[in-house]
Amino acid sequence: MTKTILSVDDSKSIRDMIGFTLEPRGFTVIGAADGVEGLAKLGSQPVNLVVCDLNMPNMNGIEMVRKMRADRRFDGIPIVMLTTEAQKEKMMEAKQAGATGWLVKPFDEAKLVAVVNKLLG
Amino acid sequence: MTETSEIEGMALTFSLQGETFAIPVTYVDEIIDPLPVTRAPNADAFAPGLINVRGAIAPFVDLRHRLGMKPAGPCATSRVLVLDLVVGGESTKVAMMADAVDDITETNLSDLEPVPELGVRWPTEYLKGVAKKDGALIILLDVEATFAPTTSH
Amino acid sequence: MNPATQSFIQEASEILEGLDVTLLELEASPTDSARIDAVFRALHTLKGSGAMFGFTALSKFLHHFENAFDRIRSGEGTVSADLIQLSLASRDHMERMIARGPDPEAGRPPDAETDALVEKIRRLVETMQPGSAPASDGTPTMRRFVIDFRPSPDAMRNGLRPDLLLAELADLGTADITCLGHHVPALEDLDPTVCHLAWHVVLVTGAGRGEIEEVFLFASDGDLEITELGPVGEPASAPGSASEETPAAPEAAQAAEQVPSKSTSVRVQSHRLDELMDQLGELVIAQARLNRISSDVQDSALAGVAEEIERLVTGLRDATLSIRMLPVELVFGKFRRVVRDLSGELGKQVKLDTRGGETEVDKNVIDSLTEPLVHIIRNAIDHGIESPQERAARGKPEHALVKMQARQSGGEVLISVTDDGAGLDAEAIRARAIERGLLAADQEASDEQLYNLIFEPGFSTAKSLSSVSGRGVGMDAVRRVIEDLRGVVEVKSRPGLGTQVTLRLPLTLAIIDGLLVKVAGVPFVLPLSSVEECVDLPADEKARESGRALLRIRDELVPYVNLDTLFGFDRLDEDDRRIVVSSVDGKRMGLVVDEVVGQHQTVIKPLSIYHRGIEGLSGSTILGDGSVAMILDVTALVKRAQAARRVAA
Repeated sequence: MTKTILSVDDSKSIRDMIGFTLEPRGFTVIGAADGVEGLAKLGSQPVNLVVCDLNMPNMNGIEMVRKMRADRRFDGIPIVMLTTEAQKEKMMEAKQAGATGWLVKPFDEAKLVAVVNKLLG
Repeated sequence: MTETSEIEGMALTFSLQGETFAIPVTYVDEIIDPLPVTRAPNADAFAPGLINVRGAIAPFVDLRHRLGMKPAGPCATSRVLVLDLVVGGESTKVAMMADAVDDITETNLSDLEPVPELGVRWPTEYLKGVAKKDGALIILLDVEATFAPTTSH
Repeated sequence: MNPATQSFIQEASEILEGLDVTLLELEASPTDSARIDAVFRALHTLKGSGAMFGFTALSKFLHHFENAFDRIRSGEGTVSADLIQLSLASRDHMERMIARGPDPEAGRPPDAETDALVEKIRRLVETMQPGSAPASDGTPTMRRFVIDFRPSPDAMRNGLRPDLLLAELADLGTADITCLGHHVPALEDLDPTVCHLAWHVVLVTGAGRGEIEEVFLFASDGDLEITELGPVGEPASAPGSASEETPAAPEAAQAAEQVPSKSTSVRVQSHRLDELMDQLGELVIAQARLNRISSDVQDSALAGVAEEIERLVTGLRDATLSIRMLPVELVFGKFRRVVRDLSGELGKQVKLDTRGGETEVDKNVIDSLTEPLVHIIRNAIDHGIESPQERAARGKPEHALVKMQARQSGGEVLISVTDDGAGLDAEAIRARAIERGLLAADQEASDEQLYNLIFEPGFSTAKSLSSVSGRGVGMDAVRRVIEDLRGVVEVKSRPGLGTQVTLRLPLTLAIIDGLLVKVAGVPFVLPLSSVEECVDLPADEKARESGRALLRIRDELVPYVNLDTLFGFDRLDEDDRRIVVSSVDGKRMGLVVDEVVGQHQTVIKPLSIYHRGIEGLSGSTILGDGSVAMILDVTALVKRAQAARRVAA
């Protein structure tokens, strides 16, 4: 069964990049523009991994992670936070909130694939 | 050790089947009471067993056998001589039984006579010479020849 | 010579020995940066300490070498065949420089050999081409890490998969993974989404700490401890050595228990170990006496103490023996060079394959093994292996193979050297043996008996004495050394296929666990390692004097011999005789004794020249009552008994 990856990012180019990178490798990629939409998508279909940006309008990444972890339906779904070098502290906050791993921007295809493989096996 | 000093030194005399033999004292490590001997299987009759000399295991040799005497067990005066020898290039402790240990005597070259070709009961290859002391005959053993292991092994 | 200088010389010779191996490995993988570093470090250490201990000329000489490897290290040069050749020659030269002792106050006059080597190195360095910076594409140094990992309780809810982490870790090398469940609560308190498990991993890997930390990148909120235990013994895959058989995991697991990090080892002079062993031997004998007295006195307090002391002595014995055990690899390592030099000298292409280097043997055995093995290997390459033309003509692979194998079997260690050469020429041996008076012209002899004649003094089949084997020592010297170690040499050969020489050595020289028995009232000790079981001799077998002496033990017919008959002792009128069933090379054989007294810790004392030649005896020992018992060599006894049975049959 193909694995579904939810990309939550306000930047379309990032969502597209994630789609272009992972779809040829057999993943299904769905997108959401912010945390609210992200949680809605999570509730409506099975998702195997979430790639989530830190700064987004409406509901930012950390808040979305908190909400996700508060909902037992989503136990065990890994969350990769997208972050920049300058956001180390935020990253730790996200981790405490329940994020699984992170990916530092800018990243290339190889790094993304490596992290997804690391978390999904 | 040179031949001269060996012969001029002190010798320990002991008796076997009524005969008095001598070995240079420099070879004698100690004299102890008879101890049980452990028989070695398929051993040469000259070295029939082993003996524990205060924590060291020494081969027990039978001089009677080598000299062609009748076998005999220990008697009241029997003593075991523990010798420090070099056999086949190795320094080895060797134990042997004597019917009695007599004395320590001075032997010197001028007293020593060659072993007479005839009239000696014991194989001459093991004897170095004979000396007279107080009218009695003392046979000085050739240590190297006497204690050489039998080469049949 | 002062102790500091002595200690330098010892260290230096160890470094040089290691250098030998490393250089040969480097020859096989010339871009291996780990080995280039190792060579550089060895030279650097020698240079530094050499200068401190008055080996000024050596230190100056080393400077040039260190320089060459420093340049390679920084990518300004590459490892060439010339460099290896020159380095090996220089290594040997250093050995000589060290052997002549510290320089005199006034310094040492220049010597031609040093100067010539320095000149060669200089020229080599000048012509060095900047190579690509050496990449670690050779075999990296394997290191051992202990990793303790306990994910945070939320880890699994948060999407972390410990199984993936462990799989990733295992990809880095050989991982021995233990799951620790002691944090798991009772079932009624268990929240299955909370992670209660922890893992203990022993990882042997060429990767560094960084790569391991990388694995746990997203798991840093859990408890993670990574401890490096240092490099694993000998780096794997030297030229021609096979290390597939070295199971890294059990070794690693053992290491984790003992945590023998490098810094905790102590160098001890070997004579101190020997002294310790001597003292221990005396202690074991004294303890046997104590036991004996205690059983005579029948005092429970005394018995308690005696038992306690016995337990302590046994522990002390095992600990002391284990200190003396060293891996055979220490000897094997030396042979890569021997094989390389010899095959070059004789124009033969020979690969050395070593297996079982981790097998441990008593230090004294190790020390004595080098010489015989060198001789066996020289013989194999010089006489056994054909010229390349002959090999081609026979359709054999161009590279001849010499295999050195070590393994433990019962109380023995077997070390064999096998070549795939021409095999022994039984007819040539026969002719030679007759010529040398070792065999009567009309004497019948099986091939096997003929082969064994090569161990007779004065025997040498070499048609022309090459510089290699013509050193005046023959295989008889090999046999003598091995017999002095209470071992046995055996040879097997198949024409056209090769020859195998096997050394059977006792595991330890000093103290063994023995079984005390009596035969015709005389005490004997059998090594417990060769005893399988003791059974009663059935009454109807007792009268049997000859014929096929076979006993059915469970479903197997086991031949047996009466030791009293074999030993030339008179049969005692004993009612309940026992059979000690021994196993030699997988074959079972019963030895009939009058009485099995019990187990006995046996301090082995060598036999004197008067009794050494007796077949079936390997030593003597002192019992608790002060009497002497002889230790039986079961392998020899069984062979003797089989021979006797053949004659009788």
